[in-house]
Amino acid sequence: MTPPSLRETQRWLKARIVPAGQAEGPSGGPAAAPDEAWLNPQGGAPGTARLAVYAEGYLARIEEALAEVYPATRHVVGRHAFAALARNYASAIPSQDYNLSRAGRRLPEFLSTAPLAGDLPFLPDLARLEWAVAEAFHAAWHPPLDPSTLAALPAEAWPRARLSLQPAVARVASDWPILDIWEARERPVAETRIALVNRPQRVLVTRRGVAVQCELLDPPQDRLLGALMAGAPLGAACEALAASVEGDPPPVADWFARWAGAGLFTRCDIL
Amino acid sequence: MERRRGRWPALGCGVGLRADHYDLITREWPAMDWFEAISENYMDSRGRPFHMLDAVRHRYPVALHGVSLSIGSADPLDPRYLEQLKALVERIEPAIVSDHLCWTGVDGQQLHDLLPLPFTEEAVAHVAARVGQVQAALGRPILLENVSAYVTYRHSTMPEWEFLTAVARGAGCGILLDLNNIYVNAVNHRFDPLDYLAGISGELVGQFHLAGHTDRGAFLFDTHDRPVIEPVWGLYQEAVRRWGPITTLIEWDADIPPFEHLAAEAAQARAILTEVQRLPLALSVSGGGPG
Repeated sequence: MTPPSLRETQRWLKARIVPAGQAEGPSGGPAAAPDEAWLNPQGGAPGTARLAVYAEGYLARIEEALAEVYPATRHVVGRHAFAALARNYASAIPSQDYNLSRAGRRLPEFLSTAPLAGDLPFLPDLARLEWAVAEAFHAAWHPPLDPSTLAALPAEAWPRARLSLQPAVARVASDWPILDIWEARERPVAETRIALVNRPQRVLVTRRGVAVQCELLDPPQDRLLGALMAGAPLGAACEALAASVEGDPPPVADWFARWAGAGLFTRCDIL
Repeated sequence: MERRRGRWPALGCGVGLRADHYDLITREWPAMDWFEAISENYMDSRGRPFHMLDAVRHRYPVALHGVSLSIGSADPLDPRYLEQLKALVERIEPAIVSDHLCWTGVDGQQLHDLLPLPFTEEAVAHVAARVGQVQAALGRPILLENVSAYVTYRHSTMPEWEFLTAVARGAGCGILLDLNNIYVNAVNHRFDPLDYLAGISGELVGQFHLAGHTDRGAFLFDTHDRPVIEPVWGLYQEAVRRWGPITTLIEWDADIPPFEHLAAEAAQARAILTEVQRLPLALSVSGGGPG
C-alpha cells in the first residue's frame, strides 16, 4: 500500500478531531480506513482511545475561548448550558482564524438561530455587545484629537468637518437592556432582577486607557455617532439628527465636548 | 573552547509572560532573566496585552513563542499570520522566535492544537521548505519545538529525534528542545529518553522548555499545569551536562500559580545551569552528543 500523503494524513486526523456535525461524510479512500491502519499499536491504551484526547481538547479549547469572550452570556445561561452551547457551536461552525481567541466571532449569529434564544431573546444582542467589548480590548488607541482643535474650529467650517473615531469605538443597539445584563455578569443570578420588556438600550463601547468601558447612549446620540462613524460630515449628520428630533434641539455641543474629552476622535478633516 | 556552540543567545532561565502576572510584573519588576510571550496573545492586539509586552520588553529580554504557525500543514502558510508576526517581531525585537514542529489545521480549518506529523521524508522536505519561507519573511532564523503526542503513525519511517534533526538541518533553523515533551513521548511511545538526547546535535539546540504533565494512567497528558517532575529535571541535568547552559524556560499554560512559584522553579533550573558551569570544562562537555 502506498503510504498516505501528508494532506491525506491530516484530513484523516482532522476527521477524528472535529465534532460530528462538521465531519465530512464517508468518502472512501484512505480516510475511511480504520484507525489501526493509521496508528501504531500503543502499549498502554489503544490508539483509538488516545485519539479522543485530541477531540476532547478541541471542544475544551473552543469552550474556553468562548467563555473568555462571553462571560455575561455564560453567566446568564449557566455553566452547563454554556458548555452545551459551546459544543453545538463547535459542531456547527468550523474555526477559521489562526487565533483561538477569535474562534467565537460567530457566536452572536449562531445564537440567533439557537433554541436558547427562544427563551432568552436578548442573547444574540448580548453576545454582540461582548464581541464588541473583546474587539475594543485589543483595538489600537491612537493619540486623540486635542479637544481645543474642535473648540477652535471656525463656525463656517463645522458643516464640512469630518471626524474620525478611534478604532476601539463601537455602538451596539438592542431592543433589550443588554447593558444592564452585561453589568450584572458577576452578580449571582438569584440576586439579579432586571426588567426586560420595553427597555431597549444602545451602548457605546469605548476605552479608558487600556480598560474597556460601556455606557448608554440615548437614541439621538446613537444616531449622531452612527452618522459620524459612517463618514458623514458634521453638517449632514446634524441636519439628519435635527430632522429626527421633535421639540428642543439636543445639546449637540455638549456631546461633542464630552466625546472629544474622552479621546474618541482621532482627527478632523475639512472637506 | 566555547561551550555555547550554537548561534543562539544564552539568556539564562525565564518564565512565561502570563496575564495573571501583568500587574505584579509591572509594579515590582521582579528579578527574572527573561520572559517568553505567546506570539498570538500579542500579534493581533494593540490593547492592554500589547502594551504590557512592550513595557516588559523595555526591562527584560523576550522570546516570542508561537502556537499557530502550522509549519507542517498541507495548506499554504497563512500570509496574514506571517505579516502580523513580522510586525510584532519588528516592534518587540525578541531574542528568540519559535514555534512548534507540528500542524494545527488543514483545508482551511483551524484545530487549535499541536498535532503530530508523520516522521517521513515527505514531511521533512515539506517543513524544511516552509521554514525557509518563514525565515525569509521574518529575516531571521527560528526555533522549532518538539511536541507531545498521543499517537504515532504507522507510515513514519524514522524516530522522532531523527525527524527533528533532519528538519532543523534541512531548514537551517534551530531546535527548541522541550524535555518534558521528550519524557511524555518516551513513556507514551516506549523509547528511552536518553536515546532521544543522544540523537540530537547540541549546536542545533537554541532553547529548552521545562514543564509539568498529567498522568492519565494509560498514558501521559501534556498539560503544563504542574511542577516539573524529578525525571524531567534529571533529563535537563543530562542535557545541560552535554550541551552547556542553554536558554531555559519554565512553562505553565494552565492553573498558573503565583509568580513566586514560577520564579522558584526558574531558580531551580538556574542552579542546575550554574552548577554545570562550575564543573571543570572537560567534565561539562564530555559525553556530549555528536554535535
